[in-house]
Amino acid sequence: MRLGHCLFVLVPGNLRDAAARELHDAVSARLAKEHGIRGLVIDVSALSIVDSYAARVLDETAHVARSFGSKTVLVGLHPEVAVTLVELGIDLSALDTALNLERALAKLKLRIVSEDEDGPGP
Amino acid sequence: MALVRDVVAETLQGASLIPVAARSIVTTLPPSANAEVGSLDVVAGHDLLRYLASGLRVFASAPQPALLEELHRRITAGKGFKPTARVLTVTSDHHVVMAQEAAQGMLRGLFKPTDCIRVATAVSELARNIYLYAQTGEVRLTLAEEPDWSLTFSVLAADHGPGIPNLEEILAGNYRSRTGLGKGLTGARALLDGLDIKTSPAGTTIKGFKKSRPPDPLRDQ
Amino acid sequence: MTVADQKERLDKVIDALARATCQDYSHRLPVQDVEDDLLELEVGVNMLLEDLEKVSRQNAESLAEIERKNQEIAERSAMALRELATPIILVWKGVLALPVIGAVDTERSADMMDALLNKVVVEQATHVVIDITGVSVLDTRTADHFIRMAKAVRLLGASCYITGISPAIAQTLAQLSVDTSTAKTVQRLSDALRQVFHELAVVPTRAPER
Repeated sequence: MRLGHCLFVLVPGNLRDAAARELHDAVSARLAKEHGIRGLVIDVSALSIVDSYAARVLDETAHVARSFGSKTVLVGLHPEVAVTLVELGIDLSALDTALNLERALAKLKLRIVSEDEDGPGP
Repeated sequence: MALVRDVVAETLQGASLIPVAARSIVTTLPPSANAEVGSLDVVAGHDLLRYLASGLRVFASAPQPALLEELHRRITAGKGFKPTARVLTVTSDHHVVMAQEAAQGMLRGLFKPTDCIRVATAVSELARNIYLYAQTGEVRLTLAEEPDWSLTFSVLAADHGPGIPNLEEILAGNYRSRTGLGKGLTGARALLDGLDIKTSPAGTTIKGFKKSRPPDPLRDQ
Repeated sequence: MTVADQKERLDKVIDALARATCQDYSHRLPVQDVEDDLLELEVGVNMLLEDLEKVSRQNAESLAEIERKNQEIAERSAMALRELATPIILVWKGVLALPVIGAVDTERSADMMDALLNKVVVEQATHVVIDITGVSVLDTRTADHFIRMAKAVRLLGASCYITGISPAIAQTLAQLSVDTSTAKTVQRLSDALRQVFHELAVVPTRAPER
């Protein structure tokens, strides 16, 4: 779902690998097709489990977004999932996170604003 | 053969509970109480104990650890609850999700929430390795009660796939494994209390376990 | 009754009393069907032993009861201490502080991490400060627990400071390659809090320093 300069993705619970890949492909296609998307917000509050595969798909999606000039913010991560991700040693390098949608949008807006102020960013 | 419901009624009558309380608890027991003494498994049994504990909390001012102990003993005829086991055949990503849900369902309310997720995530990793690298295999989840009433969860992931190459290197953690297979193994090992892997070109068998801490009789069950 | 018999009976009395001083009250003197002065003594001693045994048994039961109650109190205290020992303080709106005191084993650090992360979500925290000045033993394993805690906090979207680190420990942490974006390590709690408030004050106008 698109709102202004942001693309919103709601990840459904009980995510099968095939569904995760489909989501990744759909987002990538959208990013390629549409212009002016500066932010990608991925809501993972329905995910009670995120294992190494799901984490990799999320990270890859964020990398794709970055290559199209878009920042990604993850919202709604469960505390238990945060623990397992840290213990699995997974580094979500391309992803930023926020506790709620408001903060996610604030992070994206501020990032975009500061980049514009600094001139063409990375 | 005595029923659980009768034994509970008897025990509650023997305790210093007001008759109304005892009757009330007994008449509202869940269906598992209609089972024979000694036949309940861990999940059903602890569910019943949790129900009894909350009933006692309502009618008695303080938690009753000794009474719960006695109920536990009598409901299981002194032998503890039987292990709960679930076996899943894994051939697709659909089964990986089923395994996740099976693990969560088994441990819900019995393990701390974070431990439930740790276990379910580890099970997910092992199940995925089966369908991705061996095409087909089996995952067996077991929850058993120890003599001290703590619970031990076990997972057995078995397949007849091509085996895991470079197993020692992967486990030594000398380098970060770059394959999904290696990541899944080291991940499962990090999340569980123990992981034992036997692999050969004829197949792989992985056993993992995680213990819960003994129930604190003073903590609300 | 011969003198020898009387001596024997007296010896038995002395024996029974001697055992009583060693807290063996189980012995009883044989009582003969002879009405003499010694009989009165023997019966009296038997009754004394009877009383002593009864009191001794009651004492043992009371002691066991006290012991059981002590154990219960000890467990309750341990539980209360466990809860007290992991205080998470909301020092400001969205700012959590966790002062860690005492020994930190795997179990306690897991409990702390669960409590902290849940509090972060409940309070929608923006900043977390973990103060480890009071940690009794800080080896690499314990340090690793706190690094993980900081990583998990960051993964939820809050920034995390670890304070109370001596220069020696800072070196250990550097060896474990804690990068500054994960957890800012600052020596003093007051410095960390000052920085947090500085960040909070400027959020509306520009992006926070990360």
